[in-house]
Amino acid sequence: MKLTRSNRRIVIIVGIGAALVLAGVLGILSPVRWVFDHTVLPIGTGLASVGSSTSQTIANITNVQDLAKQNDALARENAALRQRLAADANTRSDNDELRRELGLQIAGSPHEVAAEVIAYEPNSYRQFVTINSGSQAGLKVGMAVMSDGVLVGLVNDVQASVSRVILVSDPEFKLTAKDQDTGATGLVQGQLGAGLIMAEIGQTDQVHPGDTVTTAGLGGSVPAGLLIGKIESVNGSTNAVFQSAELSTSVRPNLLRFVMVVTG
Amino acid sequence: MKPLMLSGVAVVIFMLQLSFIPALRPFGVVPNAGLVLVALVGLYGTASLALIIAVAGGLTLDLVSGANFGLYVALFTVVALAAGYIHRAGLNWVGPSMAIGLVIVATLVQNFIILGGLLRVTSSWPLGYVLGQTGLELILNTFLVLVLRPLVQWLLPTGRGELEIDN
Repeated sequence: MKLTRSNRRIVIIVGIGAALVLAGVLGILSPVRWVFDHTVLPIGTGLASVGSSTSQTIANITNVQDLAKQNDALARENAALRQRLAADANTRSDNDELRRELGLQIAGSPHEVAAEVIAYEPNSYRQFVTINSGSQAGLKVGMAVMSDGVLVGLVNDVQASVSRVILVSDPEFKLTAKDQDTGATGLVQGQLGAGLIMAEIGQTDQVHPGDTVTTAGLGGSVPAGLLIGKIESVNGSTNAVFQSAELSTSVRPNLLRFVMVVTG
Repeated sequence: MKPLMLSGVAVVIFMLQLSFIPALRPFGVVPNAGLVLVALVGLYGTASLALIIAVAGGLTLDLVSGANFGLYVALFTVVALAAGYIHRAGLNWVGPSMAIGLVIVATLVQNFIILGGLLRVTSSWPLGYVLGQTGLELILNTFLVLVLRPLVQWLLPTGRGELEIDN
């Protein structure tokens, strides 16, 4: 059967598409990716920033009634945090003194690399962002990504000058975490609908609404003590092997613009 | 001049799709303007033109996507071929209904594949949330069809869109 000219064109274009996908799956699409990262993504940065700012403005306008309530809640939380900070300052000073007496090394503050969000996941269900920093800046897969002092995700794929980050709210996200107030450990997982749960908490462990959840630092390249969120509610059944807790986080994926990657 | 303008519109739409639209998230969902463009060019232009946009635009979205590499190239290619088939059958001029129908089916297939990929990683399936998100996406994609259709028809090199001679 002889193909017509237009059908030949169609077959060639479909073939090119299939070859590009196959090359991507086999990981040999680096030259195309390099060109894309250096031409398309820089243009996307400005558009992403405009989209994020517009979304923030719309959110502010629609939530204006709740602002007074939120302000009161934040003022209360601020006062509680100041109290806790003062108490922690004493503990830190005692700790430093004891370490000096025992001759222990005081751990330095983590090294961070700043990056800007330049692209977002183009669908409603997955939660990934692309940032303008990669292996040239020392980024590696599995590193923690923070925004406003809160863990927002982990580095998932690294190229020379850009990286893709899986956000905590993605259903595929998993990380061991710790209840800072009680020491209970569990597995923080993203949920469909951008929620977060802490699962696999031992039945005898104590977890309470309002407790602070941080990274546990067990294995991988994520240090311990990075803030993830607060426990909202605990779902515990005495018959189950584990209990779980719903977490609240201040992370709003589409409003992320600048992030810090914890590199060491 | 018009083919150049159509290329410009395609570039702008795919740039918006990977940055502005997901950052804005109207009503909490990400409509797919790229999908709408491919369907409209396939229905009112030529299959080969729609396929070029499908492969280039699909690859652009696949390169920024953290999961399901190849989804957009594959989906857009199938949509372009389906639209080309409808065009050749002469069914594309029944108002915008054919374009809306094609975009609705493609949106459902896209979400089905994305959610299917999550079956092995999540046990929690908030059905109301999934249905709500999909419903809103369908409404917004339909709205995009109505907005972009006159523009695409005006921009197509063949004017009102005509059958390829050698099919």
